[in-house]
Amino acid sequence: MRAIALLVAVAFVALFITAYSYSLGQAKGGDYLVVARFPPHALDKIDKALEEVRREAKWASWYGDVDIPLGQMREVREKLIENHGIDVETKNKVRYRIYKEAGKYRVEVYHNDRLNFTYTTDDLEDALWAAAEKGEELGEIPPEIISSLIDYKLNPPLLYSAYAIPFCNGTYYGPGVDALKIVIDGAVRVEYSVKNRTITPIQLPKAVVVTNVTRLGERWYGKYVVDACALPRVEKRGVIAIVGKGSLPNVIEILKKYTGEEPYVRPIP
Amino acid sequence: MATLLIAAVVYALISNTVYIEGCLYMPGAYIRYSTSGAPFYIIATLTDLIRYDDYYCRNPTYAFSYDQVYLEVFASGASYFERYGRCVELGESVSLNVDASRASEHGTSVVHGCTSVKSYYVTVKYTSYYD
Repeated sequence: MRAIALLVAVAFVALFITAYSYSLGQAKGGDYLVVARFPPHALDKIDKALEEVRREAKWASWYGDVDIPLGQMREVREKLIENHGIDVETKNKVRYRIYKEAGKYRVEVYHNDRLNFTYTTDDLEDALWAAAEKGEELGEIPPEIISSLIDYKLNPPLLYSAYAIPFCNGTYYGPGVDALKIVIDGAVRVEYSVKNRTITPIQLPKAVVVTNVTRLGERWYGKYVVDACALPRVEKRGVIAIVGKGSLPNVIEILKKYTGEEPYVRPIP
Repeated sequence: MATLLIAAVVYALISNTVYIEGCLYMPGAYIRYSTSGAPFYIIATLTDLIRYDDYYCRNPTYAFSYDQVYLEVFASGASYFERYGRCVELGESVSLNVDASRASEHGTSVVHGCTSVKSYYVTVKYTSYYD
């Protein structure tokens, strides 16, 4: 009897600790995650909008866009072409197909629905350049071909979006990695020469190693987040808030006033 | 007599928005939209994401918040190409400050390349901004 009572008591304590821990990490039911991204001409209004949202929301902050590199694009692109291939049509009605068959890459170019160019090679890069050469000759290279060449030749990282939020306490929710790397600007800019078969990078995503954060879990309200204070430079992109049901219409109206459109709203379970 | 010339500059911002949608019918499938022009800023937002338990968008199922697709914006000109792409969830965006002096084409593409789910139906809102 005493053992059962002890067991029940232990179960109650465990239940209480679990519930308490959960309540610290989660908003109460009926709350909403609201994210408003500001257009380029309204970025200077973020602070003013945030001030207004804070009067209504349970919690609100500005956020910036950053990325977590989790893989390399060459591998992703090779797999995509191997499994699915490239099949695109340009505005001047030229269709390009690149696919892998029996261990070789085959390029097919159709003009007005008639096959007018074929090329087979062992090498993916050679296949992509052959398609690009044909595209240049016909006046338009499909963006997928150039993008694939960038991935194959320069092998930039595969990026996953994350929010940079100024918690200023070392918060990080995201994949567990040995050394956390964050990309602040994920843009790729290149010059290319089809004739010389060269891709010259002007800008590539550069990752910074972030050491002064602690991983608290996989996701924060479903999102990857990293403390903006732990990063060298983050541009403000919008407002993120946790809002109760009663205040939701007001918060939406405030944000619409500044951005001209509905914010993204998701109920928090 | 000194002449005071006052030039009034009216700052006019023009934006164009299009929605593209369709079925990413298997991993590797993609949808692309492109058009002519040289905007200074482009942005694409994933506004709908429906997950399917079968290829070709058959058997819709609950879309988990962790579902992702690869969303990219790009601009290109003579021998020039710029892009920004990443795996995004529902409601998230990718944007790019375009070198308008070099770009003559721009657009967006969405690729089923971040998960091994059978298929997704997606809607992407794409906006380009011109001075």
